[in-house]
Amino acid sequence: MIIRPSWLHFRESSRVWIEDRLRLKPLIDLLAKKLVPRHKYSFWYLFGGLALFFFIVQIVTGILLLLYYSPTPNTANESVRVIVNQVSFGWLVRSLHSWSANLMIATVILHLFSTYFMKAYRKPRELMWVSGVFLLFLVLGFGFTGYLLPWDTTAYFATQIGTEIPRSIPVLGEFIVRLLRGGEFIDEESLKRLFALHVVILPLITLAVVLFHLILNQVHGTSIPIGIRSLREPIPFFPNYLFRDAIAWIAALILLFGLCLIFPVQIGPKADPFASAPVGIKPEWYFLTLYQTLRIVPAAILGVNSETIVNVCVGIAGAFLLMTPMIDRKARMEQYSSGFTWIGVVAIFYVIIAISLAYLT
Amino acid sequence: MRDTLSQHANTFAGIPDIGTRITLFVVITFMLIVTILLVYFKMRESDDKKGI
Amino acid sequence: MTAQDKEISRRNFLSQALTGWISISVLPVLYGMVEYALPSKIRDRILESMHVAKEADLLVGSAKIVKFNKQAIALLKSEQGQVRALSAVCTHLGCIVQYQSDRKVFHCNCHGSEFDLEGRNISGPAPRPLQPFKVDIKEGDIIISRI
Repeated sequence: MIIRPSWLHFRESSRVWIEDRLRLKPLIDLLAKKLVPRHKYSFWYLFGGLALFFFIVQIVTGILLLLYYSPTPNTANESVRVIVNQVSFGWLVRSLHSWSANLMIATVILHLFSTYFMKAYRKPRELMWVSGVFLLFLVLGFGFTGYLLPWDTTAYFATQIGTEIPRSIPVLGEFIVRLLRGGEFIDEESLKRLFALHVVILPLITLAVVLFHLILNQVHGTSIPIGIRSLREPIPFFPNYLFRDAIAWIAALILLFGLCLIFPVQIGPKADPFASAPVGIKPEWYFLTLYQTLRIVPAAILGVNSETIVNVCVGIAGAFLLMTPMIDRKARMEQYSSGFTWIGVVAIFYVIIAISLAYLT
Repeated sequence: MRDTLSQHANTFAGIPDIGTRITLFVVITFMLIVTILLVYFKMRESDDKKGI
Repeated sequence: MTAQDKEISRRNFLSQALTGWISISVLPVLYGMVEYALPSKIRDRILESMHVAKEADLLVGSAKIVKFNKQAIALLKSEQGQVRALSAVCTHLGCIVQYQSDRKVFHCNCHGSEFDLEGRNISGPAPRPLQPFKVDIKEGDIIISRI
């Protein structure tokens, strides 16, 4: 007879106690029922999970920053300095929040492009795609609203520009600008508003959309690209695929710590609303394409002013992105739609050229 | 109030020097790589169980 | 129409009426929330004219940025001693422009728009000239007014 140690008994009885009360088995069975296909492009499936991981890092580090941050023009820049200079590990927490934000946006963009090229948006996953595009917009919204919070010079002008862009939208433009700024100019009201957006409004909306996105993923499972004959057996999401996700997450954590420790995030001088914009001022990399577009469009083309032209282009690009699954009729019928692949390639080229030009000129 | 706050904020030289940071990075990376290995073996174990 | 059909259409009517009524009731709540979020106009009350600087503070051939209400204004003293006031806010997307004395232009470091000494947009994406302001000098005090 084998004598089992008492802690094993304890572990087993607590497992039973918890299971009797939470009834988790149906949920775990459901997760195990979902299968993740294996083929030569399976690697790209990791990026959705990675984006979620960075979002979790953002929530944790964001809550920590919230303990010290103070959203008024007189104290914002100073309170960030206090976090960086005095609070134990404050510099690390701030660097983690900033670098993880960049990595989150990068993984969301990679996830979007891989989904796009694999045509994973096709029937019946249209709403997964649409909610994913909304998540991209939300993540960019986080980047934009969070950027002002340290109240340094670059942040100030970036916010001035970003909240000025909607003005040329017909009818609603003025209204949107006033709503975002809480007045005509960037001041205390604007800081408080963008702060509220960054720490309460956007997180709540994002959590809801993420939940919707994940539930749909559970309902429809992972898409297999058109024409791929998966020879190998698919693997259950729980626990087998989750282990793979976990390895990717820990590797991402190593990258994140490496970036934070080798390139800790600095803080610029306090914003002065009555000083000229500094020479060489540039937005974050994910807004460089828009920035370069704003720079090259001339003051007027055929009597239409530059801001309207850029707004219309951004509007068309956004609408195209959202409507892709509805426009791509071929993919809906499981036929390879090379036209859409080409549009994606051209978009990537435009982004690369715009970013290079923004750095070189 | 504002002046004292901004003086206060700059009193300490916050971010540690590169040596300290790299040491910290080595320690963190070591911990995480061990974690990856453990998760990897756990993954193999559960894959074997299902014949993957 | 059987009794069952009547029952179904009655239930249909009720659920449609309920949905419709709730949607109508939500509208005033939304309106109230948007009105609440919109800043009140009184906060942005604007003075028509203001004393902004002393003439003695201005150097010939360089620009000084002063505060007029909440707006940034560039004061420029020409070699003939004439003082000119132009909005320093770029008409493209609202950055504060920088005066480059060697080239005699206002340059916007954000997207590269340029304006000449009259405030005319001469290159870059800026769609309009810089807004001019009226300058009065009374006993060495510079007073700016909206035109």
